[in-house]
Amino acid sequence: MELAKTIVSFISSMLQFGTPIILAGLGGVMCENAGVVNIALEGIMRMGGFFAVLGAYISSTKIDPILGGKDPLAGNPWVGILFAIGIGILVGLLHAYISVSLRGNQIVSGVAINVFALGGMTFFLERYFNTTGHSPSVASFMNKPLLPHLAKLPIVGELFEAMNIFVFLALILPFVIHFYLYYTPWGLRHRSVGEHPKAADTLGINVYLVRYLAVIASGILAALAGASMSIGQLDLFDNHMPAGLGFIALAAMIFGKWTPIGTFFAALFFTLATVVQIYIQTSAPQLLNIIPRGFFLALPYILTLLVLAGFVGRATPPAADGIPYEKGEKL
Amino acid sequence: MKGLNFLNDILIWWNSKKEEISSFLVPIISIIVAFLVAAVMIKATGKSPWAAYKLLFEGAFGSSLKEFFSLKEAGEGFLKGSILTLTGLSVAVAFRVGLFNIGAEGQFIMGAIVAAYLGFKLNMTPWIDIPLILIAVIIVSGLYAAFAGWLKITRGVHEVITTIMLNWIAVHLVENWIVVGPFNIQRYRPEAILAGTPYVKEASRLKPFFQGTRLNGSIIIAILAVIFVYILMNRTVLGYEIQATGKNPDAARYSGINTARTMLIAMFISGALAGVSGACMILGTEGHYPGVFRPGYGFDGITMALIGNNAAIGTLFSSMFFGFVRAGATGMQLIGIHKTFADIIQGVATLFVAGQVGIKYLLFKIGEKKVIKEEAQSGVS
Repeated sequence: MELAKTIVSFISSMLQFGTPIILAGLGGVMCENAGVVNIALEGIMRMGGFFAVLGAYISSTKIDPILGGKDPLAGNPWVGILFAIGIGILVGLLHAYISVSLRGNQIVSGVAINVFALGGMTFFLERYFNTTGHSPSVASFMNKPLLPHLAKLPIVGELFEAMNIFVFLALILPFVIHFYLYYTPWGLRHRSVGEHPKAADTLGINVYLVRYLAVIASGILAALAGASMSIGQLDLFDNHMPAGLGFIALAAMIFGKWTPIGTFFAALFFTLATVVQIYIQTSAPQLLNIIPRGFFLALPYILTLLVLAGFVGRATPPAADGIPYEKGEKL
Repeated sequence: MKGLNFLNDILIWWNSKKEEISSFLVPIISIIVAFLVAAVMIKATGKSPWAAYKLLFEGAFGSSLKEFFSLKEAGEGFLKGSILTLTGLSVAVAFRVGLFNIGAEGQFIMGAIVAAYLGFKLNMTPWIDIPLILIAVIIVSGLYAAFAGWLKITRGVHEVITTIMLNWIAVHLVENWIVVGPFNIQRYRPEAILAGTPYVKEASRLKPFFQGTRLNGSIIIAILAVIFVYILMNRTVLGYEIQATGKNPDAARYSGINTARTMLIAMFISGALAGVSGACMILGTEGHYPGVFRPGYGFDGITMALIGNNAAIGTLFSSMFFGFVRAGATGMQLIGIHKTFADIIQGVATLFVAGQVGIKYLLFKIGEKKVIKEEAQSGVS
């Protein structure tokens, strides 16, 4: 009984911590399977996280009786999700315009978005909340289980208690995207554009359109990942967000060999390192003297490197990943 | 119709030289547009862009010529510019051999921690200590970067991914292990309340040139690095091989260049430059490896290299420019604009450089259209 409880609480915290990595990782899967590299996941997560809080804040119509101004807790978190999706679409469009239409360097574009997100969100944080630390608490999905009735169940109840809308999406979407990519005609087109755009073009597939849609989908997923941190795990935007999770998501995508379900398990596996580290820190801190905390944090990246180097399995990206496509170009 | 002919001559000249000129124009246009976009953002917050940019300018250069030469404010710009120059050169050298070294940040951190350790251990004279430290830093950071190159050559792994992974491995192992564990200041001085590593010995410090400024030997190291990269790229066989490999690896291989070796050496130089940048930061302004140290100069190096066209002199100019923007942005906090505002300008400018095909297209199109028009007109007259 005690053991079952520990395991359940372990899984539930893995799901909670893993959600942003899964969602952003899926964003990477969508993008790169269509042949566009997206290292802007980190930046888009940051923007999504901030705009989700902003949406939840702006939707509030109540006036705070003591402080004056809007009562931040009276807003609607769903508006926050809409805001996050909106910014995801916008940034996705921008990245797609540069990397598909202008055939610019996709990595440079990604770096630029990351740099902009860093300064831009600090700027907006100061503009709207007069601080550079963290926003006030807003209405959120924190501790709001999607299925509250199941949360009352013994033992497994804890699983459902932690499952808000974002965790739910992170559980469902890997399988939905798997079905889309491998079992639908659109998915076949999607992948063919990433593997061999010339051949896809010859068959009458609109390479540019598919790539645009894939990059926009990737933007939405990454923005939702950011929102899952700011209005899912917490109820505020902290200026340190997302603290490198976007890059872990990138690593998870590679570790998962560019497949949605692989990414899902890779993300959970990486989260395991974090959860074990937190668990050790709280219940057996003396162990950290033997295995330092930094090692646990670095582990996901070390493992990804080993996988990439072919020491553990082999990871091959989609053939046309990162290569801009020009219509009528000779191969 | 003499005036028209003159105009036409300009346009013909423009069309013959447009490739070279636009490589200068693109970064300049990108920076100008970035400042305009940022101005709109300031305006949207209800503040005056004019006042903000005036503060930026004064924060960067000082409010008078005399203040400029006292290097109180301007010294900061030169200092930040020097650190950026080194990471910028790092990215530029890798770019030239056809590799994207996104890992300058990790190599910067490795260089910083090695400098912090040796600076604490060594205590002779600056003329022996500092070169010794720099040599160690060059070896460690160079090898760290070359590892990514080696994975690329032997295993075919894309260097962007490996260098990102190596970045975070460096960050976590250094910040969450070395700095808080075996090399923490409290191991050596238990009464210390500071976080981070113990301070570097006086003999190993890069000291300010004179009272009232923080500008130190970093700028000399940066300029030496610019000269080194310039000579390497333009005057040596290795530089030629690096560029040949970057332009077309297959052609380079068929003409007898050992491309694998060239890539490894270029990555080593690239990592070494980023490491030296980190060392300058530690031996100069910081004095030790602080508890929280994520200045992001490695990532900024990418922007510097791109805006500087991956050339040694270009990178020096773009780095100094953004060094001053960063230093000046601190002044904008007077009217409530956070200093990370510099990131906005840098990010937008980089976006435009990434989409430079668009800018070039517009530039070329204007030239072409006019020439045809002028030719038709001169034909009629």
